[in-house]
Amino acid sequence: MAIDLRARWGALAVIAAVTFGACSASVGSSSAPAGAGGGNAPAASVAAPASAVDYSSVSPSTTIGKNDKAEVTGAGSTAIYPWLSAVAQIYQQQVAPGVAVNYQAIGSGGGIAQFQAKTVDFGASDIYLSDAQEQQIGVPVLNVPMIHWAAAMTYNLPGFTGEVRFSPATIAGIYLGKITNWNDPALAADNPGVKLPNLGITVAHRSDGSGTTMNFTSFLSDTSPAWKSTVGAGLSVNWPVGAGGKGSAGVTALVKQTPGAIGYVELSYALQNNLPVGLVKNAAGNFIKPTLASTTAAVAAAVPNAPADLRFLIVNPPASSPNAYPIGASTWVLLYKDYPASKATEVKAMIDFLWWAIHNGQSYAAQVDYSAMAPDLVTKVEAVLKSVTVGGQPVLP
Amino acid sequence: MSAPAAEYGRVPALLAQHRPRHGEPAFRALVILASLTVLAVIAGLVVVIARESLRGIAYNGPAFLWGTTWDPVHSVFGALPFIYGTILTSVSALVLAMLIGVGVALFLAELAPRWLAGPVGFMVEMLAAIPSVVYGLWGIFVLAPWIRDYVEVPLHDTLGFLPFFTGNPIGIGNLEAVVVLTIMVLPTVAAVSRDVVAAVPLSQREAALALGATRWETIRLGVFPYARSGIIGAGILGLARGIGETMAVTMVIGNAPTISLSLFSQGYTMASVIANEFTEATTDLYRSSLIEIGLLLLIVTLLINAAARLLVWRVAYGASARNVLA
Repeated sequence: MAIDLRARWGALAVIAAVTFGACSASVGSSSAPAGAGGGNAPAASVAAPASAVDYSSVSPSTTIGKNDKAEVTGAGSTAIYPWLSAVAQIYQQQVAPGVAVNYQAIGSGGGIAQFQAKTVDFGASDIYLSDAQEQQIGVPVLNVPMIHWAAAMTYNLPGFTGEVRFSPATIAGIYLGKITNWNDPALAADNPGVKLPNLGITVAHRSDGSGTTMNFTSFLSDTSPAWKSTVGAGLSVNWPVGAGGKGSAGVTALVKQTPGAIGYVELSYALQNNLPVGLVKNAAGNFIKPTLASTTAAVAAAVPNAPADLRFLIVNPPASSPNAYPIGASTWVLLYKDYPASKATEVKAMIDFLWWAIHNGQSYAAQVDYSAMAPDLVTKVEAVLKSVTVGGQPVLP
Repeated sequence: MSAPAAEYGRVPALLAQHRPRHGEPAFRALVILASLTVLAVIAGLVVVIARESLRGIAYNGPAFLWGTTWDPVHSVFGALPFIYGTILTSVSALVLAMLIGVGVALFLAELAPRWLAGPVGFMVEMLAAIPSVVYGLWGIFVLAPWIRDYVEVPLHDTLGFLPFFTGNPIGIGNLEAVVVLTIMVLPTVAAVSRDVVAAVPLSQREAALALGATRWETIRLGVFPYARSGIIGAGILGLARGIGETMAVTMVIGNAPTISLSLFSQGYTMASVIANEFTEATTDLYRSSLIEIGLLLLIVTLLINAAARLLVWRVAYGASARNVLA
């Protein structure tokens, strides 16, 4: 019995590793969802910040002293975990040794449920809260975008070494089951001068609920009326065709095993595994390769139209940004607008950490193959963080 | 045979000498408590699962049982493809595992020389110790391409007109889920059956041999009737393993809620959809509908178990009735 139990726990550990590894980049070798601020190694693998954006104009405040002790608890999205655990670790080591961020990467659904039940200081979700969800919580809440990534189209075309270009209509046609061969005229029109093989298309998608699916299907809904009316957008959808793989790793396995297969995976996963990725046509009419920079460009393009509550997606950004990749994604941190006075220490520590994370912390995004926020969005997020209160008193000056 | 009898005679005397009698009720209370714990855990489980699925039950109604569309975006929840996938894969796997497993058991208990029976038996039991995620990875990376190239494509090319071999053979799908599940169920069936067969009294075999029976006839006449209910019990254990298996099946079945006769088609099971979608179910209704699938899984397991037990009872009863008549 003892051996049996141990085997089960071992299996659980492997499953945990697969799940979290699959959903996103892994930080260091630690795969435990708990104790992001509590001990082992992510910081070791994160080198000095290589900042893509200039944050010198802003200064992280430290509203709490270095000697204060606080444990901030959060739960939710697995996508944000690699970056959040890395910045929490660095924050504890370099800024506030007494502040530990305990983040449980249990998935967006679990994060929202715990946030609704008020058992955590913050939640994290790959989709902002709907009006109905906010009403259900009963107190005012804030949706704070924190980090960005993208969904990359990957494929298996034996003997083909070029880059395949996809227009949104073609991707929708493939995922609706209307385009079934790589030599389809629609694909030929997207790829002038390139000869794609006469090979059946096998569609692969995520079987688990995922922010990547959410943004991929939002992109298709935005660009294809047929997709919008039949399938729609969500963390899990009713796929018209194709096979489902668990996590980015599962989708990649399906694609790699099957000649002619196409799938979408998290950009960080594609970058770390050197997968072939396709170029996708944006609203400006350019075919854009998914990169950290082209994703940040999508954030910048979407921000001017973003509502004040920051509940907006960065898919299919307007044509004003010619270099924006159109299938970008975000993860939000969920906060209550007002926390009870008894929570003052934790909330001050949390807000200070988040403030640091939207400034200095963005520099570490590239280390885990995530995209930093656009500077315009940082300014908007600052305003949201400043609106948080404890017992009615603002936390930040 | 005389030694135990002598011991029996001494036991009450020993107790009277050394031990006060209240040890007995204490032991009794302890074992009753142990059994009640199991009951309490199951009752708690059922209550929580039922309560959490109330919202889904109210919204989905009875159509949940025969609905074929699972669309979280538009909140349309039908569980039939998952019920179909669960029963199709676990029952097919059980049939295959019974054929192989009972063969293994008979070989190990009746035919194999001792130097071979030990290692082979150990290997079979080792199959049960492999974590299911490892079976899943092996299924995706090794078995899927092999099945596709050497089983599915030839079958599709030659017998593609049959409904069982239609569709796009990509390796991942119902067939592979059945193969992986068979391997996972096999150790349970084989190990329990072996012990059951080994426990058949020698006198049964000697009687058959004395009548001039061959080895096969000895097994058929002397061993099988005796071991039959035990072997079916092994099957029940194996089926329970197959129905509940989550990780490996999720990785190889293709996760598409379709109802198809084709072995090449992608399918979905109840356990898999819960594992896939529960963590990211962001609305209450969606989460409740997934828990309702859990409730359904519990009920299906219960029904299959009850049916199997009925089968054991009938077989055992039928066998003894025949014996009396003979």
